[in-house]
Amino acid sequence: MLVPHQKTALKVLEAGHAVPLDKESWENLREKVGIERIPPNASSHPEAIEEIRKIARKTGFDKLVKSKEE
Amino acid sequence: MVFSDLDMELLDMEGATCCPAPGVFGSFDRVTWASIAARNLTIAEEGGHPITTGCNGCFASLWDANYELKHDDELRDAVNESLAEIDREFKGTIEVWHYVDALYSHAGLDKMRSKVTRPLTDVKMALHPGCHWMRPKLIKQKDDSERPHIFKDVCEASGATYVPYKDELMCCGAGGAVRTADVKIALDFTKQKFDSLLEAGGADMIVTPCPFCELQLDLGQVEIQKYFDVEYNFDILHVVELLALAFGHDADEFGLATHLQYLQRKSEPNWQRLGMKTSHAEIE
Repeated sequence: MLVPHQKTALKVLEAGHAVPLDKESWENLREKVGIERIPPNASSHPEAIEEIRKIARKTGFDKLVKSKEE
Repeated sequence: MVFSDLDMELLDMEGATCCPAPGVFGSFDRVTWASIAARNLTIAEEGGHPITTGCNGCFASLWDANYELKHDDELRDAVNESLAEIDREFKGTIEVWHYVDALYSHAGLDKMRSKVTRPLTDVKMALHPGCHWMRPKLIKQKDDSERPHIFKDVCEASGATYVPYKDELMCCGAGGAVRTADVKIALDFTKQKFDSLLEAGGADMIVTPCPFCELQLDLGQVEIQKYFDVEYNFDILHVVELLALAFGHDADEFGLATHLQYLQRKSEPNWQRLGMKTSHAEIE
């Protein structure tokens, strides 16, 4: 895997999303258009992140994304 | 707001994760890709509702995984072995719809047209359908991917005037993990699309059914200026934003002015070109 692809995959395993809600400005924008600051996806469900980490451990994907670029 | 205008109710999927990204996950490990997608599918299965998504990439992962798991017993067994670790099981009981298809098939063009209070009659609209919601054509059978009409029909319900251009069906450049790997190569695709549109006479805006394509076409204009020293000024709208404008909603209701090209350029949508005096004004 190329390093940028590894980073994206690791971000999903870390936050549950490839594009996580990791800035307060995004939360402010959501509030401005009348929706909850944090969506009801993995951003507010840490157990969901743990579930995909378990999947990655089972399939070996956790090792693949940490392997060095060939 | 557009869906509720059309009497369609959207329910949140509690605990949903990344679809996952089809390029990064699907290209490197099929079982992991299908397992994470299947986990999302099981959330919808528990509620007994179909999934709909407004993203071509998410649609590609969720629809393709749903299809493959229903037709490939070996993959399904491997995925359910992974899901057993988290006390879930893929059952194959729901369908996955792209927003465009859901609007077209469930609401219908007549109902969409009946909700238009601000017809965008004088607005010239180019389309970027993107790659994944129709392809592979023979399996998905959603539309003819080489001569598509559903996306065009839905967009034309807004009243805007369709502008064809040679590279309309070309990739935006971002997908398949290309933007992630090399943004300059991705931008080269985007630039070719913009030039093709200008050769066709240009348009007031480009409409897409995918937020990742939208990002590439929108922020991409800022990035192309940086990498290629060429300036483009297209307003880029997601199809739901287009319909929201046509249904009479204020642009502030869905944050049109917060698109990244406007934030980075400290600019704003060309309200007059979009047929509006400001974000709040009615069409003239």
